Amino acid sequence: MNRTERLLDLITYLLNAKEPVSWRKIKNHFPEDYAKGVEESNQRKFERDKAELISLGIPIDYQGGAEGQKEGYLIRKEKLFLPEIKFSPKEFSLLMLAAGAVMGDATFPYRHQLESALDKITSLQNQIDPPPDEMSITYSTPKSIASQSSLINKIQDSLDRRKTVAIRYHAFSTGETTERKVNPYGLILRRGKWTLVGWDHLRQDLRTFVVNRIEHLEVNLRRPGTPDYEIPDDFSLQRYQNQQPWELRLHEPVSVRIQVSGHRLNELLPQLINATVIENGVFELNVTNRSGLVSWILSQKTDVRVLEPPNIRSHIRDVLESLT
Amino acid sequence: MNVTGRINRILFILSYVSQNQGILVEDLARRVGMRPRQLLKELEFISLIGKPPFKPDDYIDIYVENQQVLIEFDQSLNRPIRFTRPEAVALLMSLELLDAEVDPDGVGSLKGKIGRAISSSVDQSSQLENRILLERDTHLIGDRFSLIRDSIENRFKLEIEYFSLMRNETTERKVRPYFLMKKLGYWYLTGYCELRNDLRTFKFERILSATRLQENFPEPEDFELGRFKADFDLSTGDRKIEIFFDKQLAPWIKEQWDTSVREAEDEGVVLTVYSETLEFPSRLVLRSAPHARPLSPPEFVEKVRRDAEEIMILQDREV
Repeated sequence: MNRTERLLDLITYLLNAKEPVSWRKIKNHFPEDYAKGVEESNQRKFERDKAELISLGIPIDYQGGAEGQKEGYLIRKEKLFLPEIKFSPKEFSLLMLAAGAVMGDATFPYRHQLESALDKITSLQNQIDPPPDEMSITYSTPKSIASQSSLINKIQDSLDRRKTVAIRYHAFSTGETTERKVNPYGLILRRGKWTLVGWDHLRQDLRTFVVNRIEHLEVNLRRPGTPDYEIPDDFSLQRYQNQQPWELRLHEPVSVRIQVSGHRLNELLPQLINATVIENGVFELNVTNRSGLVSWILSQKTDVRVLEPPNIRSHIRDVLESLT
Repeated sequence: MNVTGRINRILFILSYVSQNQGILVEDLARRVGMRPRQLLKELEFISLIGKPPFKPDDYIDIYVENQQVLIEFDQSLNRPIRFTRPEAVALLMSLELLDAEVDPDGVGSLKGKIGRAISSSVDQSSQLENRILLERDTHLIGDRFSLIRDSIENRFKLEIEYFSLMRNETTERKVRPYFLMKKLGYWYLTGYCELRNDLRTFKFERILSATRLQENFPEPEDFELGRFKADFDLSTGDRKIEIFFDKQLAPWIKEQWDTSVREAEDEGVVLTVYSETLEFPSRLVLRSAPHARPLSPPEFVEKVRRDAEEIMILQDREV
């Protein structure tokens, strides 16, 4: 019996059994699959099958034999099936708006999974309402091209199973290409670019890698069912998503005070969430990349002014010298 | 297709046919992304599935009659099964793109319903933490969103005060609001601008104020949504501008601008952009200083020089 057939038979068996099914009975009914050769390896095979079913969303419980109850495996109907969800037309149309935003993009890592989740939802829905026509959401740029999608999917897979990846990376800052091992902690779409955040074995520190600049990637094939690493509790992916150019850790922190024009406040505030507000329009930043800060200030032209320290102002003057 | 994917598809076929008895082979095939002939083979395979002791009634009985798919014994596999962890993550990721302000009641109740279905599906909530972020937090779209959405639906003109980065100035204008679009975490309003007498797109954060006018506008005739969405990213304008970047910035510029870049002296590159105003290209040079310089046209070179001087004067002013 092939594996697909065996797994489906197992679902049908456990779902329709009137009482928990013992390991002995399972072996009796699947002699070719679980009762040949060494007992220990048969048990391991069954455990692998069980894990596969659980990953499909099929819960297999084991009921212990307390107080005269039967002992064995079972699938509880109430836990197997999706509860009925009734959406109003408005809710359904919003769901389509959100789903449409990601389905249109070839690099969205969970495209197939979202498709099958929507299949499950829509097969229970009598009426399917289109998204509202006065709105659209896209999160990608035309640059997130389909060729990246296989890399994205490999990274997603390694994140799901916590497997180390080996990459060949071309760093723009140094111009060098290096081979590294990375424990992926997360994947973010930052300023339109997919970026891998992870623990870099080479540098022994957290690093970010622009997916587009990864030339080659291999997910660790050894022990596929066992995670290679843990993600520390205090790791925040959100922090990387909101990271500003001056927050890259390139030197010791310097405290910089800036003033932002009133008409730009609303717009620039999201970039200043880690800054301390001194008074209206005046912020104190903790800067670990001076050049990044200067570049950001210059792109705001006369809307951001440095109050302190004076050496940032002279940095700006030096940089502008070439243009005047 | 791997084992998991195939089982998932088979379970979907079973629940779908149970809910839609008599569906045409052709329609079902389209629904599951198979060719009809492939689907028929898969249905044959499905009828081999059953439970011990494997008597005739123990098998799934799915068959085709007059091109219709019917199911007699479904062996209780007649409803969609609960979400898998990746499906739940996928749903949550896409719902994250919906800000509450888009529809204050609808978004909340939708997320609540999906959330309940997910929590009854996936046991360990800790395993659901999202490891993939699609966009930064959206900020400050606030009650202005409802005001604008409402004006679109009821065709009321708006009066907005807008800071244009392209012109580096704030203006007041009457706008016929047509369409809202969220891109990379930012919301934009597109509409007909009565100041410029043309379609314009406004970034939410730069709309300094918005008031609804008691003035209706007719349904837009010439507004083609599909084409507009496709053109959204293309820079517009017919002024050709050239900028030189030295070898330190060249890799980034090549990655970002791709076909608009050509190789130049000392491993540098020249970027060509077409722009309506000189404002955006000037900011691009300024923020890349000292690794960039304007090449042409002469008025652009002059503009960058003036902008740089203005910044120096501002930064040098007594604090």
